[in-house]
Amino acid sequence: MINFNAFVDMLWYLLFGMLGIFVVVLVIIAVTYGLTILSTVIERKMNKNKE
Amino acid sequence: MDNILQTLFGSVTEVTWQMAVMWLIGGALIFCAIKFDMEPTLLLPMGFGAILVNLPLSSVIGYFEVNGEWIEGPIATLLKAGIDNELFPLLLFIGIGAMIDFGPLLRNPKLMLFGAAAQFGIFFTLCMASLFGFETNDAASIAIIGAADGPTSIFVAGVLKSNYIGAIIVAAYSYMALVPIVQPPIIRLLTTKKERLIRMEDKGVPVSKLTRILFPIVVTVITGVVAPKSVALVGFLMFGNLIRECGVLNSLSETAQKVLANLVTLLLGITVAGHMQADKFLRLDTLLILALGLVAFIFDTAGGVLFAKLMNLFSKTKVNPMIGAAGISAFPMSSRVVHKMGLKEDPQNFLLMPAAGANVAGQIASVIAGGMILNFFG
Repeated sequence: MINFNAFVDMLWYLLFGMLGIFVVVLVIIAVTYGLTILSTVIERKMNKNKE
Repeated sequence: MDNILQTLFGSVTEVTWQMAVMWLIGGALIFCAIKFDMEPTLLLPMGFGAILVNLPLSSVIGYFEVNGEWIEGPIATLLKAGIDNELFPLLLFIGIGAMIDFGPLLRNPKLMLFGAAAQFGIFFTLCMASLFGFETNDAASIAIIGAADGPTSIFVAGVLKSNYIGAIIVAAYSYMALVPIVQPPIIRLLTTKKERLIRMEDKGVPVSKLTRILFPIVVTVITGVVAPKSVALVGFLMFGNLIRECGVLNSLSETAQKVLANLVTLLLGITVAGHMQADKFLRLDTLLILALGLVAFIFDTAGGVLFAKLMNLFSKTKVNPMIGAAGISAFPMSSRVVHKMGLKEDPQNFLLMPAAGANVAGQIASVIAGGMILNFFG
């Protein structure tokens, strides 16, 4: 049984689902860059202290 | 005499043609697992289980009487203990997390965008399944085949109490095994030769141990806050990865990667076959679900490739659009497919590292997509 109305209703979930995934992923990317910078700074400091 | 014959051969008369068809399907799964090496760790136990649960008066799945007492069959017990409460897929996720090296992704976090884009097939299939009249919970469970990740499919279909869990699991694992056949034609269709020749340099930036340790914790917290229903999936995956990366639990990491993953896979395969009883599996809808599963994989691949092409329009450093196709979670098949295709076009074009990065990003994104589906319909 073909149900076009259901198809159209689900398009909103497609939009918001993809939007949701991209938002989460962008936050993870930002935090990952932050972590990388932070850990580089910490390691540099530790290396300086060793020297 | 009649009584003895009835006792010995009574169940023969209970055999139906539907059971015989399920034996053939079980045999076909075993054949594909052995002959074509198609996800043998799951398809072989599932194939054998499909035969097992479709024997007349099978004592493994229903209740049987012993000395006037009704005893539950072992597969029914395993279904309750490991699938109905989602324990088996989650335990398997610890093993998968321990196997995954997020290094290529951490060297180039932007690759995570491809993981997100390659989940398009999930939501497109949700629309298509609804178009064909499936109930919302079933449509959402069918859509999650596009996660290209068996445990996520089992988890989501289980939570949503889908009536088609057997067909969904068969479709998910079959298409995962068929990634080397399904993906290349779609990639070739959507890319030009010039695009396929684009070389991608591995940045080679070393990833510190601290980043590797903090990454699983941070991802768990972020996804847990945004999509709370995905926290079990993400949490167990990242717990396995934390065990791997912490550096002080090597024996636990090895156990998770080998013993735990193998043991759970062994039980998972034969247990999910409990959902492959003829009356539940042999429906016209099953064929439709298999077709929709293919749609999900095709649109996942297309989503990833087209997103990479879109990025190239705005970016100075061009990415090889084939990397986008590796954003599906079928790990590591998808990255190998992209790498091989790259080598075929140009023997000096090594795409394995960025493809692996996109592939592990797909693993995370598919779990987030599962959480989104549960947030919407759970």
